[in-house]
Amino acid sequence: MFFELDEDQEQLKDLMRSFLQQESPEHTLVQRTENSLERPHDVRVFDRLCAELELVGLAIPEERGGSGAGLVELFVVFEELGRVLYGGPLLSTMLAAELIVTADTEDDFAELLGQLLAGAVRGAVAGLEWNRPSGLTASQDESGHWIVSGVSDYVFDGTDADQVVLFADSGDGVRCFLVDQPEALERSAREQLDLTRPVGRIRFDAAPVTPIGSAASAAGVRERVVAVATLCITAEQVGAARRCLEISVEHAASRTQFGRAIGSFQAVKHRCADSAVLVEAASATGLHAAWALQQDAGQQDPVVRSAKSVCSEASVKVAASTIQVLGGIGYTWEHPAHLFYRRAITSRQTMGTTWQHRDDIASQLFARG
Amino acid sequence: MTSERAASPYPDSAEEFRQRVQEFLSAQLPAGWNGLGSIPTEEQVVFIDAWRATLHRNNLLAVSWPESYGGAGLTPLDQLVLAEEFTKAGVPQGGLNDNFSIQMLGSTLLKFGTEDQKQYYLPRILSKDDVWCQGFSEPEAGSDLAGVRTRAHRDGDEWVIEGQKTWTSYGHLATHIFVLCRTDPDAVRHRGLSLLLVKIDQPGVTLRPLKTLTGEEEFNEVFFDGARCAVESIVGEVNDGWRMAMTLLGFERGEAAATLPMKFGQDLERLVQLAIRYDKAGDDTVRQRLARSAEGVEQMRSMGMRAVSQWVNGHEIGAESSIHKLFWSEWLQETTELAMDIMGIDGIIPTGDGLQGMSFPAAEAGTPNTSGAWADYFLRARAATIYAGSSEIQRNIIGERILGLPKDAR
Repeated sequence: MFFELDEDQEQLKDLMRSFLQQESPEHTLVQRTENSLERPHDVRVFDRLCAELELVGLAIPEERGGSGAGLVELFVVFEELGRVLYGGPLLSTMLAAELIVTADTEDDFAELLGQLLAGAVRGAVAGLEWNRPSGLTASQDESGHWIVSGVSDYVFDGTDADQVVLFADSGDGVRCFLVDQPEALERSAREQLDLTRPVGRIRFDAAPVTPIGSAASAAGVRERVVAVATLCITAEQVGAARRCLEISVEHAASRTQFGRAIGSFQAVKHRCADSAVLVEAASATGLHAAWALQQDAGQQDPVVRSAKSVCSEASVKVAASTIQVLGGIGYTWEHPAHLFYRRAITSRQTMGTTWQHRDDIASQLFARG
Repeated sequence: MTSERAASPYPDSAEEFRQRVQEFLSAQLPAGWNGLGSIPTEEQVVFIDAWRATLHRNNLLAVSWPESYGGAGLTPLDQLVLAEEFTKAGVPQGGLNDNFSIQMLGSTLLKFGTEDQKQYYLPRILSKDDVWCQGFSEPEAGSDLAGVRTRAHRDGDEWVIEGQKTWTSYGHLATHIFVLCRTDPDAVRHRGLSLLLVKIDQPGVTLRPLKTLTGEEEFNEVFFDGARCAVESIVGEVNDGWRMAMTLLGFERGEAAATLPMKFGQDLERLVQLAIRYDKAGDDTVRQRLARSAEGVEQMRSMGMRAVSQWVNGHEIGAESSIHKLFWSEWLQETTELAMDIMGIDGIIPTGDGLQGMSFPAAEAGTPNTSGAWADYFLRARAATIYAGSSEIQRNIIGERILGLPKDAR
């Protein structure tokens, strides 16, 4: 029976945990963030995640060069990445590959896909948001070639991706494209709240692009990529919240005041207990969403929506609670608590805010009634 | 790493049994059945009596008990499937006291009872010759069960009981009470307790109804003044009552992880209808809070499935049940408060049928969508964070047993 991780999934989790503990240790997080605001990740770690662990292709079908695992496995992996606030271009590269696999049934972009899966090429997806216009418009010039104009404001790893794929409004619905000359795009890094994952702005000025897949399938592709992106973010939120809870508990158990561990005071203990409830409920809901999405892609909207909203709330509340339990230490730059809080807030605002998701959930409730 | 799974998380054998239960329900329930909550309280009492007899005749009261004691010899997973299908249909799994008789005492006797006890009591529970209630809480020992003061001392081949119990749900409908007593006055706290099986209809036992803040008489106070039971009417060893009590309370939650989210899902549907009726479908605040309630049901369902699969895979659900209890009791209060806010001033003048679902702790399917029912439910929800271990106790359990934080000064 499902609903606990099976043996393979547990092994994957352990593998990720020990790899990341070694390669991306928490105690270096603040320092890494400070030293390279633009690129807070270690290129070597990214290379190993791609080449050795083959994570870009984890949930890509085997016949397309991936490992053929499911979304539950993807959830497991991203939960571990969230624990260490991993900020390298894995998510964006994986989403670019997901877009190509879903849109390109003819295998026209097999070479690019292979490079993305190998990590040799880092990808980014522009125009990707939950139920928001992409901000990009596509049209055909006199010679029939497609060009895209507009600004995409929040592109994960948008600044230094090697290749950019995108969703744009073609006047006849959404379409998927590959940018022909990514090096010619006007791209800028953005100063942002989250110091662990770079987000870039990309300006498209009649940039030549090549369509990926058909016009008929593009809306479905967008829905799928949005769902997978949202699921990965929720998984990260669960991992980060779980880690924050651990940090709180470790501190509450060891820090003494008035001659006793502060975790023995109910005011602190109950705060930690409330966080534990949030983490448990979020992790069960997120994993359920991954499972449900894998079982029945038609169900993706409601389950992923709930999961995003629930995991956002958990990660923000638990991260805030950690700062409170840690007291003064939690408010210092040196302690990573603020990085968890910054990531939590940022992820909450990304891929649909909690407010938007709840409004849509309400619409679904009333439509059903 | 590819794994193909059916859309149901349950194994085929359980799905086959589900089919059987569904067939049974459609054959046995009256045409147009809409859930227990849809019929008036007086009719419910009659229905429950007849329904319980039907279940007994069809050997569906305790399907996971061994056949030798009157059960159906099926698996705990089958029991769970039955609970789910019954919840969906809005019918109880037995009479009002069967939660105490079958789920709690019956399961405990199966684990720790003597062969004589099992052969004597278990069939009598199913045939309703014996109807049980719970004698744990006391006026001075609610959440602090180890502080129980009711005493029992040996007199020849009998135990003699003195003291008082309280919050005894459905005590007035019971013939027997299982009583947690202090049998060693010198032992500290939980070390000197025993669990005794006591007849209510005897000179030394007096029951007094206790009116709750909703105005109902569901609870009782029970006074013991020289009440007696035979020495062999003890579950487990003398002074091992704490372990028995904890085991028994563990069975209290059993299927709730799976069935409560279903009941709360039904409540949510009624709440959506209520919001439509009060023209609040476009109200931003109501929409946000309603969606939050819906997320809560989703969270409970997901946690429930996880708990159920842990249980089916042979892991005990220990302190995790505290997370569920804390979560659903707070959800219930938030959601019934939302109902009051949706109704506005109508909520203070409850009209129409009140909450009819008599089952504990959530309303049955078919409960009328009236201000009367919601106002009742709203008041009743105040108890949810107190009974079966208060929220403060649950947070201590989570903090200490799940997170490993040090105990507070006690």
